[in-house]
Amino acid sequence: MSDMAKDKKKTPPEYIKALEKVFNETSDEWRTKFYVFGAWRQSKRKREFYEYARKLEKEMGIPRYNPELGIPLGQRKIAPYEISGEGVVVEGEDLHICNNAAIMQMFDDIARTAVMDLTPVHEIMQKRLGKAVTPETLNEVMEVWNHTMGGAAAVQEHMFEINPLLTKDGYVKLFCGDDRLTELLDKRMVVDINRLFPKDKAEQLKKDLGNRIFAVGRIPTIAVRNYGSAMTKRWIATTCLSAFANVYGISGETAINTLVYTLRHRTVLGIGDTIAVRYGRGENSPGGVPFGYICDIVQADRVYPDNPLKYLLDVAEISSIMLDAGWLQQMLSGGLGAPVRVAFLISNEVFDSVVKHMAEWVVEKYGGYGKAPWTVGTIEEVARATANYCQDLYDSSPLVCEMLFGGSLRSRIMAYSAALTGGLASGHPIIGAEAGHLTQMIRKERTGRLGFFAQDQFHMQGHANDWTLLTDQSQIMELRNASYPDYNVVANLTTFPCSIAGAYIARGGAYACNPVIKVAFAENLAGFDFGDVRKTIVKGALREFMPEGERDAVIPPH
Amino acid sequence: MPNKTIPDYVNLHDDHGKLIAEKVPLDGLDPVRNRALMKMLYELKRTVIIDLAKVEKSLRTGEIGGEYCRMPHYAMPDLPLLERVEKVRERIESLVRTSKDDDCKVELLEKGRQVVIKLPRSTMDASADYTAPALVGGSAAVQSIVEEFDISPFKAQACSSAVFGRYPSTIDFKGGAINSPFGVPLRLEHLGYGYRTVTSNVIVSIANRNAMKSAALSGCFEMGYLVNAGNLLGRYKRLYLLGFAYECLNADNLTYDSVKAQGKNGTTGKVICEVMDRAISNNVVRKKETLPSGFTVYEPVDLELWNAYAASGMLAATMVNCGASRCAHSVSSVMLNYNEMLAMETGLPDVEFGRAVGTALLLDFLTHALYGGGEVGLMNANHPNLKTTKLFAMPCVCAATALDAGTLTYPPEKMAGSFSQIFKDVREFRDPIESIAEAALEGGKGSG
Repeated sequence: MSDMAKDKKKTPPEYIKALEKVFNETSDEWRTKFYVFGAWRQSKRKREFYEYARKLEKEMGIPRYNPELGIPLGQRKIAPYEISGEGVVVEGEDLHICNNAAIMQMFDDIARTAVMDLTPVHEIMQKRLGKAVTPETLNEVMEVWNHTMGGAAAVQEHMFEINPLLTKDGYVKLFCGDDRLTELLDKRMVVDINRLFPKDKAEQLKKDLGNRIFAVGRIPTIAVRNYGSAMTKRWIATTCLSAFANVYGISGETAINTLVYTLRHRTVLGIGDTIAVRYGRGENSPGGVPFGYICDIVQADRVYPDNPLKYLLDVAEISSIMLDAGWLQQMLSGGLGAPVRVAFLISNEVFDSVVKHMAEWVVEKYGGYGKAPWTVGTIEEVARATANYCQDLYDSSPLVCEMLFGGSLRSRIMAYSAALTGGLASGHPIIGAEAGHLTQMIRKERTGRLGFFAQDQFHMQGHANDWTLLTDQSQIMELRNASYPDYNVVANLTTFPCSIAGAYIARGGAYACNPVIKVAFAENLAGFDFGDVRKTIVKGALREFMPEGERDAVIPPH
Repeated sequence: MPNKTIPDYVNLHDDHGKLIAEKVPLDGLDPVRNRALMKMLYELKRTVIIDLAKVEKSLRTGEIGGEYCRMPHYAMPDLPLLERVEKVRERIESLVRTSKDDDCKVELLEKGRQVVIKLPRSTMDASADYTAPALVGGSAAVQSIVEEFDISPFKAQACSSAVFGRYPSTIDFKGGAINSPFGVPLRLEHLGYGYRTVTSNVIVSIANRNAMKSAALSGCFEMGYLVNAGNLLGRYKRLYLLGFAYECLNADNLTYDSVKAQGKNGTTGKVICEVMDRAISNNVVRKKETLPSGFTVYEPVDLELWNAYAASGMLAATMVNCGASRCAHSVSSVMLNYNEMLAMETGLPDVEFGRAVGTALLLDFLTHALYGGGEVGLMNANHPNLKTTKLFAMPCVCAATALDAGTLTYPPEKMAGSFSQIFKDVREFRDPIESIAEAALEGGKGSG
């Protein structure tokens, strides 16, 4: 055992305290008892589920949930999770995507967002249609657009319309880099960059956005749930067109078609790109969201500008949910396993303590963030330091290993923290990602294996792929997504957003990849709070989060 | 079975109405038997343009991947790509060329702002599909830039993303600098639709806005699709070969004569009269009966040949109308009006037996309504609407685009201007009708 690990044992760190609490054992105990925990009955949630299912069996006449049918693995303690920094203990089931309304809303909020660049549209209005576009007409467009966004008609009153209570979370707002222009717009429908962002970030964003006018739209949750994420860009474009048609008094003619083509195909920005057919999802699905966008969707850098680690932890968490738990394990694999990937990064202070330690190491080693040279040497230093620290942690604490059960989760903690560290040290995501891969080689030498096969494949290929110019493997990290050739079926995808986020914090500035995406998620009128990912997930686990898209307005009272 | 009462030979006229080839065997117009058609399909398939000016801008600013992405840590503010573009071109050529006497071409366009890459035949033969030029050309450009400027490994993949955009995370080259005449295979509506992804703007650009040549080229690519899709076989072969000859290659000068006669004061109805006069006098159709009202019902003597006459008239009507207004947008209305009037006034089948009128109706909607679609110049035959008419609709769309004098927001010059430069030295593209006619006389065997 290294000196570092011994030092840690002298004063129990926060993660040991948390783990002793949830496992109800001391960290000094190297042996545990088997088959004494009561199998699934030790979980309050599973007992509840069991009771619900018996009632359902009577009602429906077919077999329902029954954990007695599972293969008994009763030697394990089913420990709850103490959410790091929040002082709240929740059961694992409460962090399953389908049991957590906040997490579901997070998926929906990304899927239902798109941004419209209105500048080319205004040019067509003026040049092709001879209409005067003024702040007044734009305000009027926005008023009508917020009406049509909820599935209401703007042109023909005899159209069947949607109950506004069902679509109350659908809305659209404007933003622009030019304060003089923004001043002239209806404040109710403006994303106020100056108010939402710290001054330096606001200035940077406004400079990079310039005087183009963007509209961020969130279609109603119920729409994306009914029709799928590929609906989003179409819904936004069509509702926008209706608003323009209404305000400017235009109807069927070639110019309006040019307008709608422009809206639908040339100026609307989705969040997720189109991905290959075999993955069975349309645009705006988690499988198509560029990793750089994930870093810009997270807003802790804006809300907590003096706590960069919070931002890094939120990026890791949201990536683990979106990519590993949601995309790979639920949507692609078919819904088995992996909900633990929502839990392990935010629980029991383990990942928090590793990230905090490695951030301090960066400052100590390089004199601050972003100071390390862009060299292979830096990659090796970061990888070795992270791998050693994490492995010491695993070697010194049976409880840490019990929480991070199997090689899979231990591999992830190591890869993600190395990726964050590498980015943080250098300001370049490739150093983070490469350090992440290298930690796995180091760990493999130490333990003889990694996690499960998918993780091995991905990290084994990482070095070759990160430096190549082969056409189907040579994309910058920020633009890669979960459908990138090497990532289609593998785990540990969170490595990449971590490396990008770390690099962004090191470089400074206002966004990691795209200023439009950063501003588009700065405000969310109804839904998930991207400024505080962890707290919002906890709300979901405690059943305090109210999701959107419910059908109460059109179903019997219940 | 095909009607054999009329021999399957056609006389082809150029876009000035001049007779250029007599007794051209119809089988000689089949792309698999016509070296000129094969050449055009091959030349198009092996070509890609890479926008080096865009690559330089992306790499200088870090604006990579499109849609306002901006990553300054990849920026190389002083990269003199356009200054040393000839050296980059030489490097690209050295990578792409397979032997010193192969048919590879790598040339600069627009004062070095773009490079056109035409892959050698051996590379095309070895490739499974038509994406090779974009990928091979793009890869050669990336490697050439990285080597010419000795770009660090930490920024080399930025060069790749500047060229290929969001690929391979997404299915196409969104945000990149690849300018291919084709859409990507993953966007094909159905199998074998590769040639149908070429837009009207690209075709018109290649034809340098000559309406009849645009129609001819459009027909060539549709014929390539018909071969690829297994639709130029057996019972359908004569229908499409005749249609191609009459609508796209000005067989019997039918299109030219109609446009010439009606160009000044004509209407769609008068074009129909022209077509009917010729069809009756050439015994392509005949009177079937006269109804008590006095209405005369006609019937085809030769169904496929009649269809070809009707298609030729549809193109003529398009040229008369869109030419008169110098506006492309009405092509859908012309096709719709032409076919409905033709069927209602004669009792004869309209073009492709309802397909053209159906396409026209939907095209009218999709180019004029608020449900989306796009301008005429943006259309291609891989579109959910235009795909349903084989061969006959796209030539009209292309001719209309060619005749437009500035009413399009997305015109050929803006969307595909470079394509007007890259085939200037290929005679088959300059004079498609003459080249195809000559090749048909050389190689056609006749249909017997």
